[in-house]
Amino acid sequence: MYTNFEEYAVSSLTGGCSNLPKVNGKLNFESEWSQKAFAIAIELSRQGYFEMEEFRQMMIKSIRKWENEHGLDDESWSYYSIWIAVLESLIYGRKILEKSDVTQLVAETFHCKNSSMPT
Amino acid sequence: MTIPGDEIFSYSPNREIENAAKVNALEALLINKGVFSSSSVDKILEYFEKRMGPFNGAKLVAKAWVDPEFKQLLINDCNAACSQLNMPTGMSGAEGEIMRVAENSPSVHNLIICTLCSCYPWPTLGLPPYWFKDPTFRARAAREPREVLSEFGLELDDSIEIRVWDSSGQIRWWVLPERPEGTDSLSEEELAKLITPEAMMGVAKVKT
Repeated sequence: MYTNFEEYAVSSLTGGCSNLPKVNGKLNFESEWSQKAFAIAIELSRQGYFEMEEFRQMMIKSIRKWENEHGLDDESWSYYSIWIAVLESLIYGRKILEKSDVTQLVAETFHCKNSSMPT
Repeated sequence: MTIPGDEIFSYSPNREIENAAKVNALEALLINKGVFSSSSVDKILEYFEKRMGPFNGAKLVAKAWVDPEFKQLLINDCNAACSQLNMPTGMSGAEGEIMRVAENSPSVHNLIICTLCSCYPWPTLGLPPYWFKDPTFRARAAREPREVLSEFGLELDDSIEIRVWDSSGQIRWWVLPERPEGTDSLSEEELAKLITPEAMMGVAKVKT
């Protein structure tokens, strides 16, 4: 609905970005994984594993930390990478999942992908 | 609880692939453990797509334009106005607890931002666009709103006062835009179609 507008806004405000993340016709979500990361946090909060306010406070601290260490126009900025970091911190902190299980599954995913790549 | 450290913020060229793998792993393990069902993620996303979105804000604005009493209620108690139209006012703490509306007028233009992170009135405007979360936007909109609005294509006369409303965990602001001229003959439904999320954020005006 407002893809052109958002592209214009992002380009203007960030001084130009050649590869704007765009999925489903708009930029609300940077990618499929960011959409899923968002939903996981909401669902865990809905189930009472943590309060959204707690999540929000951690986001604020994490964003502030990132901004203190990077320039405002640093292209490595990724809101949903910070979102995932906060989400993981809560998931492991509350013992909802074990970090080692997640690490192992991610490693297996990469191993599978690498194995299936043509040599 | 620790705040994620430096290693989280290091920028890997494979970040997209790594993030996707990590999120998929989190979802798979949560399903495996019985915390989620296989449709949990889709249900949440569907809720935000169909129940909480800018279509709600547009309905509220259109009604406020044709009903002065409702307009006063919207300004005084936004959540009560949402309830009157049977709209969601929040979802388990999902950003809609206390919404407030700032009314535009010929002499005052309102702009919403969140300097802390990306607080946003989800029930009435949906999820924030990408640029709302951008550090540059968040910093500059607070410091030099007139210039930023100009870059958005909204040139405001110097005589118009710009008020910037910084949302927080306590209050989520959004804007009641001005009804455009020449819309007297339009129905409430037709008016609602004119209203964009940008107008309700204050980075645009409603156009016919």
